[in-house]
Amino acid sequence: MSAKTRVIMTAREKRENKWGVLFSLPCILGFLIFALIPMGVSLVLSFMNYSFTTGGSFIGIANYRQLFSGADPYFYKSMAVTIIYVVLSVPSAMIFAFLIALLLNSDVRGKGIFRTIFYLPTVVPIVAMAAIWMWIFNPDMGLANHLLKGMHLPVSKWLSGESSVIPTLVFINLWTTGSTMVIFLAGIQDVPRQLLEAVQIDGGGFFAKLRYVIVPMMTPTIFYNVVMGIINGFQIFTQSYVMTQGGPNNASLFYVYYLYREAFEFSRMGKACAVAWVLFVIIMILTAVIFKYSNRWVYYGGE
Amino acid sequence: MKKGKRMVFRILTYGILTLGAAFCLVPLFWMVRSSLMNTVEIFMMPPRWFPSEIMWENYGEVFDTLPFQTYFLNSFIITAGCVGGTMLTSSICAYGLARIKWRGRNVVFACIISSMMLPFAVTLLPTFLMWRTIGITDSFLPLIVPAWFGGGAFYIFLLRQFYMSIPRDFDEAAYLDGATHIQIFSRIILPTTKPALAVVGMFAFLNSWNDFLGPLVYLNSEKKYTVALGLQLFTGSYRGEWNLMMAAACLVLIPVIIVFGFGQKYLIEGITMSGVKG
Amino acid sequence: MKRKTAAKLIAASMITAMVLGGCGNSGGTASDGDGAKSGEDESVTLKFTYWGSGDEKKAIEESVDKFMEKYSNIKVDLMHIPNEDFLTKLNAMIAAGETPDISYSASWKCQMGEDGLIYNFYDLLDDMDLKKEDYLSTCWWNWSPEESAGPVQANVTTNLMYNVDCFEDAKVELPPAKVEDAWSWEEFIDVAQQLTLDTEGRNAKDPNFDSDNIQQYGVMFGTDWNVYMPFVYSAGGGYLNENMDGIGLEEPAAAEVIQNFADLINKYHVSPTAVQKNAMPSAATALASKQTAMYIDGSWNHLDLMNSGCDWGVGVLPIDENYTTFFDGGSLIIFKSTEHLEETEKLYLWLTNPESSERITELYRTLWLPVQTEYYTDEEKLDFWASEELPARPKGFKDAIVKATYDHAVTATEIDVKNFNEINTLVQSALEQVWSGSKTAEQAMTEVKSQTDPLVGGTYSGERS
Repeated sequence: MSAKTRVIMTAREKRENKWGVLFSLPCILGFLIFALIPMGVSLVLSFMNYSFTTGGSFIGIANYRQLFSGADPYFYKSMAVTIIYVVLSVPSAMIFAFLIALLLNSDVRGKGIFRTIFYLPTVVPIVAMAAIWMWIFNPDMGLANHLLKGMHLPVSKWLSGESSVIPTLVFINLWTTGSTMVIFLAGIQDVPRQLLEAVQIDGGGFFAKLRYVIVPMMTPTIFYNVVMGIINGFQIFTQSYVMTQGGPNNASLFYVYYLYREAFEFSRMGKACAVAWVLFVIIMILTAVIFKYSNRWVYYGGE
Repeated sequence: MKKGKRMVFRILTYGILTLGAAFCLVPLFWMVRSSLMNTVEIFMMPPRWFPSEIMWENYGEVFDTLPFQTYFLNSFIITAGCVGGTMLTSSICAYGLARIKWRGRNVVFACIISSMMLPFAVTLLPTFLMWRTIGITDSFLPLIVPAWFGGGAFYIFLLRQFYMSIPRDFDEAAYLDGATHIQIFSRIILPTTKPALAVVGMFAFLNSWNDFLGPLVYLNSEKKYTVALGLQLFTGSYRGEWNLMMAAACLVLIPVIIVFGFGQKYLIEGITMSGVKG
Repeated sequence: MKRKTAAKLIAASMITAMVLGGCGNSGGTASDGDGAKSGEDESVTLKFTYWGSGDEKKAIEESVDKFMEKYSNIKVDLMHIPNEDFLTKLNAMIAAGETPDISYSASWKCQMGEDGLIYNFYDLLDDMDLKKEDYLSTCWWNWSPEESAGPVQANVTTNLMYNVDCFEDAKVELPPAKVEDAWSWEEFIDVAQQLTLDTEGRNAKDPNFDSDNIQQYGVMFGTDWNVYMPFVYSAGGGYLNENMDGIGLEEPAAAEVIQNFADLINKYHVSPTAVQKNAMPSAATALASKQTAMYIDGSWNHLDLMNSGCDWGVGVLPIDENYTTFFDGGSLIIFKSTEHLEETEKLYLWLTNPESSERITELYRTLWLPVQTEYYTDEEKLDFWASEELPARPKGFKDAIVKATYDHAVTATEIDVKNFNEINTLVQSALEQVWSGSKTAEQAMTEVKSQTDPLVGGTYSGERS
């Protein structure tokens, strides 16, 4: 912005500043009260050997040292498990949800019914959902192996196998991609008709539309879903809490479950806060990187 | 030739959709069939697809075993409070962050985004202590009030994305005509992004309806329990009344399906958004 | 028009805020009112936190109602908390200064004792007119020789349950109920093999037996410590090593026991692949649906077995030498923060007396075993809760459960081992490799030592466990 335009804009800028703050006030306050203060408290706690019941005293960086030195082997283990999960689940969920959204946007009958069906799983209470999947994937009595045996296909140990538990959880995660799908769907419907028609007039088929119009126009939505997918993926907790309790043999000991175990089962709140802060920093860095490179591929109609 | 290709495309489309739908429905069907069985039949080997005798009485027993009607009422109150707060404040904030250029906007937005990455386990205890300090315990307020302060970074981020994709010249013109931000927000942005807001409302509803950890920590007396907590009560470590739990889960699902039925319409209205763009 | 919309929005938000605020306020004043009222007629309110199944919950509610009828000045606020989340919730309550007066508790209670949060039960004995000798000597949760979190309240033991029909169909003799007749492990495997059937009806001893298509398993078992520890003790092993500076589960005696259990799954195919408990039917369901002929797990399953309507029985564990087992269960802890100790003690007595009310009696006749010695030594008192006429007390109950345990009990592992909660979490996840057959018991237990042993701090009694 040149100095000249700046001078001209000043009056408006002032007003804009006022209104901007006013409009954003609820979330600014919300951020202070429900995020910043608790964050500060937990940062302080992470330098203490704090427990719920007895309080604690400052111990410097001992908690962090214990984590990074490998003295607690579950720190790195849970980190590795979580990264593997994120790497597998985010792309698969994105592709699955995008594909379904794409098909639902095409000219099919019973669109509404299909949409409802694909969205339904996300609304099932997690406690019930966990039980159902546990039954279906029970290696001896479950439906999955029963069907596989019926088709003379090899069976799996699913959630009970050390090597199969993460892929199974990734698979179960596909079942609840309904919200991602809905966001994609909203995004696709937002793609200007004229552009699609233009491609059609030029003789482009479905894939040309996808390649040159749909995907580029949907980059903000894709961007959003990827960021959210990564953030939620790193925070995966309930699945292992309700279904596998981190097992078998810690093969699904996700990072937040490990954190929860330290905080609530072993009553080491101080250490748990340190664990949480490490996660926080990791996600921050990752998101910052994604944001930094986002302007290379994300297209905003407004700017 | 071209017709054949289209045919293949259609078959493929329906094929994938049907397969996907089956994938989504089988576990749900499993839930319903388990809700109509006794616990022995649920675990029969080989698995049974249909109950040998349909036990509707499981649904009645849900209410005999636990005061589920109270849980429903509680969940409704909490959810209504959360959805209202979230839809109102998140859209206002998203507007402030997306359509108004002000100093510090990016810093604020970055802060809010970063709060989304904070694992819940960290803020849980400090927040809990905070409520305790101001003397509010065993109340719905700690579950509802945060929704009135932006409703959570998730929704602000979502709406901001939508608002950013609306061409700027649109409200710029209104602005030059002398419209205030409140007018632009309520008369231009809000109506054009109804579908987005509906999505936010739906998500807020689901989150609040199915929230388990929040009520667990904040609610102490059983008459204030929510449905999500109630479900867990069917399965202690000494006993699993799985059939009742599944019946209760089916009941808990009904309001959600109704809400989605209504929310769907707004999604379709998203088509109008592209009209605005032209 | 424009202004109207904005005004509407603001009005709507204000109304909602007021309604919400109103809700909160009215809630607040209501509880204040309670407090004021209680001051007037000098009544007190106790907070009692507990867990348990629907039946247990109902029983507790009804018997507490009876309690409040009897002591009209005492009001008890019951808080039922799902078992899995109990400690989370309790910790949060303590941190917030909302500590209950009295609560169910698991092995974490000893830490609370050491932290000075709960009463030393020994200090309260005189108040309540109780004597230490009145209770089974192995049932005390102590955090030091002179300090106790009280005797076990929800008392249970490990036992072998079976479906009579499965045995009759296979023409196999029922499991023995007397310790002196107990099967050896080899005999036990033999029976389990005869009772494991594939979909064609062939049993596991048949050369054509198809272990991929099993219809009925010979035995299922819980995979936690309470199942394998009686066998470990009987074999002369221990959870901790001789010096009590590390776990002892990798030592030959203990490792063999654990390996034996794993072999039931992977070598003999008489047990299903051990999976997380959510995916498994409860013992009663598995037995009633003939998924398994036998089940080794805690005696709390008797209530469900009674309700399942199948023909079931109990036998002694297949230990033919040096039979050793234990009583085990949670205890009621009384928090030091209570302002109404006297009333809390009354509630304690009420809940732990098998004869205080009908519903409590029912619990002691189905779910729990008493902990007071007289209920074992006095024939009449024994019949009161263990008579084999009672629906949840099948034939052989007195021999297989009461006598076998009473005569051969040591202190349960979780009661005695310090830091048990944390150590066992690690042990249990390491054992999952053994159940899946990817490691031997000795390998897995040797490997986990590097993590568990720094946590091992001996036992509360000072003797090896």
